[in-house]
Amino acid sequence: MTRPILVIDDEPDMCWVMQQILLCEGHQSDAVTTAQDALARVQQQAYWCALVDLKLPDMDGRELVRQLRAVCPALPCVLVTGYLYTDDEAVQADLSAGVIVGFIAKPFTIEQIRGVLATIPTPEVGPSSAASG
Amino acid sequence: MGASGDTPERFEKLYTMLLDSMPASILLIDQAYRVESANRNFLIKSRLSANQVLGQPIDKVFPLPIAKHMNLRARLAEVFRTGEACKGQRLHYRAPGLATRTYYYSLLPFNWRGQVENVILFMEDITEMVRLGEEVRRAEGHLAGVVEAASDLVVSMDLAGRVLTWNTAAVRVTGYEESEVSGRPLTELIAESYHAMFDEFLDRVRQANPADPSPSLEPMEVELVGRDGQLLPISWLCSCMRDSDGRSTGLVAVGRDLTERRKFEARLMQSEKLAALGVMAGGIAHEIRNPLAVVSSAAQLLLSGKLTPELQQECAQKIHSGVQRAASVIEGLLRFARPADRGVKERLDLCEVAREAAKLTASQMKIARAEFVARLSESPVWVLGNANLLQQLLTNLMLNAANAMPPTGGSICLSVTQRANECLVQVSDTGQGISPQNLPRVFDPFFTTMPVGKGTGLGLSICYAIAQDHGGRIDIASEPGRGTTVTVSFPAAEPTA
Repeated sequence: MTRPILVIDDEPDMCWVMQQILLCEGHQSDAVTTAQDALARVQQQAYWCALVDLKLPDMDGRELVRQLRAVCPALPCVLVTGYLYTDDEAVQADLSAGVIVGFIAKPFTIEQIRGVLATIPTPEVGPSSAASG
Repeated sequence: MGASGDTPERFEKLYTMLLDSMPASILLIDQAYRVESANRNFLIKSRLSANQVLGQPIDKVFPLPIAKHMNLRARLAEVFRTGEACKGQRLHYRAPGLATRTYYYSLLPFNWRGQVENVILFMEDITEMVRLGEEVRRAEGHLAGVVEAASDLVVSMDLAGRVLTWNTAAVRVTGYEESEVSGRPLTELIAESYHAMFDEFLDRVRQANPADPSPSLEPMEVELVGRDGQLLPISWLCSCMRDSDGRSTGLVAVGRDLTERRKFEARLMQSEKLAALGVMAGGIAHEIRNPLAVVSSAAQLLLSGKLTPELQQECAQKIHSGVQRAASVIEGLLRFARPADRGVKERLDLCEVAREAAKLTASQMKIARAEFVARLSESPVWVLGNANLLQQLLTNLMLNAANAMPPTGGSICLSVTQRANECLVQVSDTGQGISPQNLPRVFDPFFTTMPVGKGTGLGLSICYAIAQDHGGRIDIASEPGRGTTVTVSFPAAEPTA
């Protein structure tokens, strides 16, 4: 039994297709549309990884990644956005600093999602240790 | 004359005195062409003594060339023969040692009992008059030259607005010759939409108070219709012509042809718009890529063939709505990018324009982390305007507000309301505000506090031009650190008949 994936995107349609894809790939997922909801969620539930949209109504996606990692340092985050390209300086900086483990530009293919998820190690199955504090 | 004691001496004295007091030269010539009498004025002007004149043949009294030039003998003979006066001849005479003088002379017959006994040669010195006349003509010529050489239209009108003068620039710009417009009311050449405004203006000139040295005749823009039917945008500066009592007698209008400037402004507006599009490009990309991502994902899901019929249905719906969303973003973009035809104005609802602008800037609001609120009047707010230009105006204001957001975000409110005959659009933000020293400069072209390459500094000056073009005005209130409120007011459109 793997942990679910957290999908964070302010557009419900985007969340819906993302969850369907993940389901087809055999992953359970939860979706939230704001940064505040995301921060609340990770404290209640241990996630395998988070797919984070760059532009959220209440917070910049990169900032949200930092705050998520402050709460759950082990949570791998993938930035998913239509606003930046892979070669963007900010994206490259976050990748090399290990702040994010992957970047997916919208629109994407199912293979790209599969490819990024394949690089994320499967966490040890067991009771969550993320929801500390 | 019938007084007692009348003697020939008395008459002679009176006659001499009358003649001598005349400011003209008078000679009495007999049938033998000899001078019978000459008045004092003649003797002074000719520098001759009475002896040198009286009893002398007329040809001797005048220098020969002059007598010949005047054809004096023949003319005298004609007057003696016909008994008819010879009037209005001009003569230049130069007495020895004096400057040439110009005379106006007549030969008047003196009839006595059916016979012309004498001819009076009456000479008026008109040297000074001629000189003044020439001076006036020269001054007039100079003034006319100035008016003619002016590159601006110079038109003078009487109080009824009828054209009195029409300079070369007016001919060049309108194609109408002075002879075609002279005496015609200028209104006949003014585009119909400006008639009421111009009539009201003429009324003000007619009622101008003589005590007021210059009644406030602010510059106004009035379009003329050229000979070829084209509308000519012209900016007019008018002043009253006054008589010596200060009453208005007419007006002088100096007009500048704005056609070239309009073309330039249109190009400038278009480039500023493209610059705004550049600023929005990132947001727009996001705005299109999001629905594209939904569409593409849904399509891939369908292709996987693993979906239940319900999910297939849902995927198809997501594809449909996603495509529509992307299409509407592109449509808004194209409408915005299209060059505006500034001349075209129609009745339109400001709320509709505001909705369009809000849609176009939605992603920018999101990027700036601005909480956007639109408070639009429930009933339409009709103005006479150009949709494209008004959208540019509102989009600029919204982008400015988004730009003013601090990194933590804030809120931006767009409102459209109508108060009596005034339609108001207001964009207020809780952004960084404008410092008091910068506030007076915000409408200056190229004034910007943004780093080079980030802003053209033309946004607000173009907003200003667009507002003016619609008979509106822009007011800005700002407090550094608290935010800015920009209010644009337009005159409400006349209700439809």
